[in-house]
Amino acid sequence: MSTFFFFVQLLNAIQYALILYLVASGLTLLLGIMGVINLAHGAFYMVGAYIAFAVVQQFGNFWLTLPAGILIGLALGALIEKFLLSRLEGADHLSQVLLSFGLILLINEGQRLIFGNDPHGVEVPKILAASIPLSNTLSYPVYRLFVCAVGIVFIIAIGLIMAKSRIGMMLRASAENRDMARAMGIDVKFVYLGVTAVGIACTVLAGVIAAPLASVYPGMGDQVLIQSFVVIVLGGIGSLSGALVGSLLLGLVDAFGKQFFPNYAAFLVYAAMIAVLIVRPQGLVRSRGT
Amino acid sequence: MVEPVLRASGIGKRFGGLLAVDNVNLDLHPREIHAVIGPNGAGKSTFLSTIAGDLPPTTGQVFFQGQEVTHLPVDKRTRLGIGRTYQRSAVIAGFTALDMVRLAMLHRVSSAFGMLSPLASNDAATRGAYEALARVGLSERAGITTDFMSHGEKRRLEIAAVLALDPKILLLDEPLAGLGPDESSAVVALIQSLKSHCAIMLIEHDIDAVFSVADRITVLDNGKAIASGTPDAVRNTPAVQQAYLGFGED
Amino acid sequence: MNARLEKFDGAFLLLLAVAAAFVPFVLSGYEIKLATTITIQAGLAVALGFVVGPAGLTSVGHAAFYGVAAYILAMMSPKSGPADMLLTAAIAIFGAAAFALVVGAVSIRSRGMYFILMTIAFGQLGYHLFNDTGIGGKSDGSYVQFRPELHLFWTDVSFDKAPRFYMLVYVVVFLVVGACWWLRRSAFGSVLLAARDNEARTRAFGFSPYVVRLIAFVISGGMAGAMGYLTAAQHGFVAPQMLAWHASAFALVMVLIGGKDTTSGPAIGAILLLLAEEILQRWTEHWLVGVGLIIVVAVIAAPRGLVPFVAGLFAPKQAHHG
Repeated sequence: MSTFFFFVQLLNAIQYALILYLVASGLTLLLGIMGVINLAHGAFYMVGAYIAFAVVQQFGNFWLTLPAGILIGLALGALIEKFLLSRLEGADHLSQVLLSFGLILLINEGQRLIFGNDPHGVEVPKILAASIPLSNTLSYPVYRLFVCAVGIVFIIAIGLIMAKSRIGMMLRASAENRDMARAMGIDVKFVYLGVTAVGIACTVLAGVIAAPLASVYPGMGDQVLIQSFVVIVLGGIGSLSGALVGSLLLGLVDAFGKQFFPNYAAFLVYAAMIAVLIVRPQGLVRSRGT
Repeated sequence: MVEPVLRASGIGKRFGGLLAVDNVNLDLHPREIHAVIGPNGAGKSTFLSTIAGDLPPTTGQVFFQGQEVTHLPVDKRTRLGIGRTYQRSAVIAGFTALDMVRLAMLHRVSSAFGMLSPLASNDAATRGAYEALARVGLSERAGITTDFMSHGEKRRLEIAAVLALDPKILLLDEPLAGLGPDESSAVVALIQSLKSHCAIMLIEHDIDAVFSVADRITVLDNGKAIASGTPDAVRNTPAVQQAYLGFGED
Repeated sequence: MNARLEKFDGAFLLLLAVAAAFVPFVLSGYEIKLATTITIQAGLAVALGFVVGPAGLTSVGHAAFYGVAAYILAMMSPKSGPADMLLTAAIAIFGAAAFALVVGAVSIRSRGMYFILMTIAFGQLGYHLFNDTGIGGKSDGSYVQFRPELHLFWTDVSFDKAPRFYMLVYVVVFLVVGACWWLRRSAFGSVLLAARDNEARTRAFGFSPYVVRLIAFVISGGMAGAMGYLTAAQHGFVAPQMLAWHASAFALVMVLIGGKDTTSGPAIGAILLLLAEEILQRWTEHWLVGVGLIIVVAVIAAPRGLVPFVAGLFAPKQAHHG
């Protein structure tokens, strides 16, 4: 394996890890702060990709996809919390699993109704369409670097928000102890609304920026969903920094696993999750809210 | 001196940086009530849990009838003859009082095959359950679902269930907590009468009750045993008066 | 379970058993095949309901046991003639139960959402085992060319005719349902319920919650395997999707719609959901929208399920207890 090839794989691993982190951070906040297990998270990722496809097709402008994805994601999240999740408070995980399974069916069929079963491509915006030559035969697409940049900006932003801002403090307090947070005058309902909206918007955004990387197709969120759960189990439920570490680990396993054992890559991911849970039946890290 | 039925030696329990129980020794002899007292947070319940098996001790060993049980799970210890009650009422929601006590009878009276028949059709369990309920004065309430019982009834029901286990030693974690005076004296009388069946380790805040029923008392403070002996001897230990009794009744 | 719910549960089961016995005499052709499918799925739902309800284990991996048994039949079926039913069924059910033992032994140590994630991971592991590797014909699945035959000492019984196969399914499913009903009422079922409600107290009564849950999980896994075997025999075809977590979630929906705290609930849930699916499919190719809506509404409106809901309608005014 040449150095360049290794370098390209490493970049791919990091880029995939950053997308995974966008998805997993939303999922881990929902789990850690609200105790909600959302299996529809992968479907929202797909929604993001189809938003990118539809916006580029309609307006021919990729840059519109980002605000469109974020706004639709926020709105979807807020609606789901307001009309569905808030009614499940106090219910068990079984209800959450089934509610999100119902949402998956609705979203998947909605997508088929509107866009059909064929895979679609989303064009990379012109300004990012170039490739940086690395050697005579290898080059690296600028768009992938753009994805990395978005991911890094997101990490810094969410890290700052959680550590410094009042909202971050409220989130950490609510994750720690719901009743205590309420006693401190924190509007827990509002926090839940915010967490669901932001958590789902992150995932939709991930789908938007991932759309030009590969084709947009039905069921594209399935793999991302399961891998995000692996990330969360690796990193500890509710832990954003843990999710980052988990994403990077999984990005590496995925990128290099596909190179070396193409038939067993998916297998390895599940085996990793089971192995972690055998050693630590309640997850790796138990810290919450940071 | 007879061989102690329970011997805990050098028990320590650490939670992170907190040493909740620090090198405590305790012997429990047959037909003896040994009370463990101490201020809130002294480590009494934690100590009891290491003996019952709910919490593994960080250091030390527990011997039951000469056999080491330090690392046995709770269910195995129960089957050997260690019964316990919990500080907070631990009844089973949705069960009638009778069914809950029958459940406690099961491991003594039912074969693996018997597990396949309904609780109600197990005559031995039913007979034993009624006897146990009678001893705590709950015969009339046998058919009531636990959810509809008062706090005092739940406490007595839990004691009935533990009696149904026919334990060789009984670990009681604050059995009088939250009881009215009448119920309290009934439970004290019950504890007194149980002495002839089994050894009892009693954790209790009601000092008067403790000094009236206990044969021996161990005082814990900050996880350490600061005194141990007969009630009179303990009452006259200066360290105890300073650490605990001096602060009035709890 | 209170006495009234128990009575309703028994009555519903009796009603179902009687109604299902008439199927081969009043229905024909496609309808019998549909009834066969529904009966098998009802059996799967009841088996799953036994671990979700009394054992309190939200397994999102039961389709794996169902699918593994189906694959065992496919792999054991000769190309030239029918397989021996008793032999293949025994191995398929045993295989599913053994798989459930492995999955349960590891997963039941985890609680709550970790248990859910663990069962999903195992189910997906099974899915990828058949989908990605060479075992069992990859993503195309595999065929059972001939429906297995029952070899008795004096004769061989073929189940090629739909009514006779239905009768086989009827007998097997009602054995499974009857066993679940019995186990729920048994002392074993009471220990499961006690462990679900108060784990520490149950342990201090001398029972290991881990062991009783594992026993329930293995029994249920073996039963799910029996249903997978029947499905493979019915359709003559197995595919990796039978194991995927979507299939597990679908079975959970049946359990929830009918009510996990009864034996009849999951069966009724299966019947209603599959009938709704059948009707919606005739209307529109986007019938899954309807199924999705049914699920969302059921979760929000009747989280305890239909059977407890109906039993509640007949409740007398709440009597006052001490």
